[in-house]
Amino acid sequence: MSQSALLQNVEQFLFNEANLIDDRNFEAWLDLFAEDALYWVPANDDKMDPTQHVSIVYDTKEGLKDRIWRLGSGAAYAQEPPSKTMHQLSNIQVAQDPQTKQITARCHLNIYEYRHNHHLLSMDTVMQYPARCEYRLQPAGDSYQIALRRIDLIAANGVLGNMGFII
Amino acid sequence: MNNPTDFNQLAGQPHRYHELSTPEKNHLSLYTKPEILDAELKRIFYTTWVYVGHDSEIPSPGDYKSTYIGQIPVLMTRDQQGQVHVVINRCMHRGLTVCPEEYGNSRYLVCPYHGWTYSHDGALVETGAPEGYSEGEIDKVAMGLMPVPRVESYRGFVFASLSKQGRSLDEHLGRAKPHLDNYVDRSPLGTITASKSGLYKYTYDGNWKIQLEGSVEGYHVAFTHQTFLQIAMKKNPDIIKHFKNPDMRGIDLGNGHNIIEVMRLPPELVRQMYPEDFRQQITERVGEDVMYDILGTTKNLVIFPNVALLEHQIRVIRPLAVNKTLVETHHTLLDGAPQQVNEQRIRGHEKFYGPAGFGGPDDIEMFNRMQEGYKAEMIEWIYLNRGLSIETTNEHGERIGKPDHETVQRATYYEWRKLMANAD
Repeated sequence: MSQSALLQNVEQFLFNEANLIDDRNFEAWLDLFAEDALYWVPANDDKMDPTQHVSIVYDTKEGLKDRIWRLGSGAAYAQEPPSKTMHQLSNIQVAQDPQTKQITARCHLNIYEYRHNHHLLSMDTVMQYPARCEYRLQPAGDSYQIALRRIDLIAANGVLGNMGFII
Repeated sequence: MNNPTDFNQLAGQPHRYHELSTPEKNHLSLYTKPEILDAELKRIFYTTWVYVGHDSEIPSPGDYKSTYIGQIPVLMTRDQQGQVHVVINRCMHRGLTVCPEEYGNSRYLVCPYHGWTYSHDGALVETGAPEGYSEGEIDKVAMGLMPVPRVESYRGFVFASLSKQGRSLDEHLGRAKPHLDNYVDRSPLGTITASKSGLYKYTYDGNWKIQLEGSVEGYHVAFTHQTFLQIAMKKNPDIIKHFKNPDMRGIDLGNGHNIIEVMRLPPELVRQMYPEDFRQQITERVGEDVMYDILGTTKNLVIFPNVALLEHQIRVIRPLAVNKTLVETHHTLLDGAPQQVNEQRIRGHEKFYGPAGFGGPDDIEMFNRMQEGYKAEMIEWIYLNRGLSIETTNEHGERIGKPDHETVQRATYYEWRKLMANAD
């Protein structure tokens, strides 16, 4: 496959993934992940070792299932009402390992997040969470499975509020 | 006067603010009136012992941490001899904060505006371009970074007081000390490392005391955190059922400090959960009974007025305004513990308390909504009387209730009333 065809395929895969999150189609989103996948949002510093340092999210697929169940439970109060999100991707670069065929994709992400807050007007505002992302994708049939979804927020060391939505 | 009254009747009479709180209830103005926060800063934060940091945050000579006492910027530093100092983070010349970063290391503390240069104990080493001052014009002793009058530490926890007089830290900590010991003694070496393994920061649109009350809130767990409990129950039913242990207590430790027991595991589960070597090392330091107690019992401890020790964290509470609060949760590692134990602490902390955790954000939502509800000014009281009528007192004079009673919230306000009654 040519580099441009690879880029186009990966782009379409990532755009589709973003849409599944923003459409709250979480079950279909979960299906994109490999069984041993890691969904990782580091805290404080992008050089930290997750075995020695807390993260913002450090989910196995099992943890991701819990997260999604909770969002649908009606009792995750920081997400009642739920946030609307828009995941905007740009600056996508891809590279494929010729042996393993695993694809590394890097991109910039800006998450726009809005949670209608009828009472708390000071919070009734669109939040932005810009980040750099790294994906590891494993070819699976004519699509991919996500082995790693890593998001480095530029504000990882900042004052972070309610991030109970899918980052 | 026995019958507390409303704030409007007491406005302009700050020496009577303490009458706005009783054992049963607090007047709304404690949470909503800027005048009350001003009085709290003066009489509580700028008087009593305030937690500034843990000495493991500044391990090496030249290290500093930039933080606050109340709303006053301070630096906790370690000098070249290893001594810890707390000085006001304000250049004596034109008033800038000298060090802007949370953590840093430098040979000197240098103000970026004109190069005034201080050592880590605050002493003025040199002004920038000293030829512009005549000989002896700058009193280098008086023009050092202002030292905070009293600095003491206990088990690595560094406290400072802006008041020259008052009880010692030892007297202040009082009956909270054994519980502080318990927190640190879960390390085989008897020491912890704070913050290096992570620091979350959040703000909420509410009064600082809401988080202080909320750090020992046993009552809300079964409701607000029902989703977390359901997930945990599914995975670890043997452990989670011990959230309901009937012997657990909430204790008023005096001086505003208080503690709740959140979960108590029997020895057989402690043995299952922690490696034998680790348990053995702790037993050698503190004995087997204490080892089973401190590994088996999850406790939340509040040290009045600004810090709480929860299972994996040191939580620091800072009032930004009467209705705005900043909270820092400094993760702690147990020095000398096996990687698996510390890694469990890391995963456990982020899963519940992180910004995308299954508990912390829900609590913040509660805090924001409380302050919003307080806008209904005609409803004047916040009730804290749960369990008051069946509270008991033990031989140490500690008030004892259940973890889901409000014994611990009330504990804070016995001290609050005492300090707030002190005239300026």
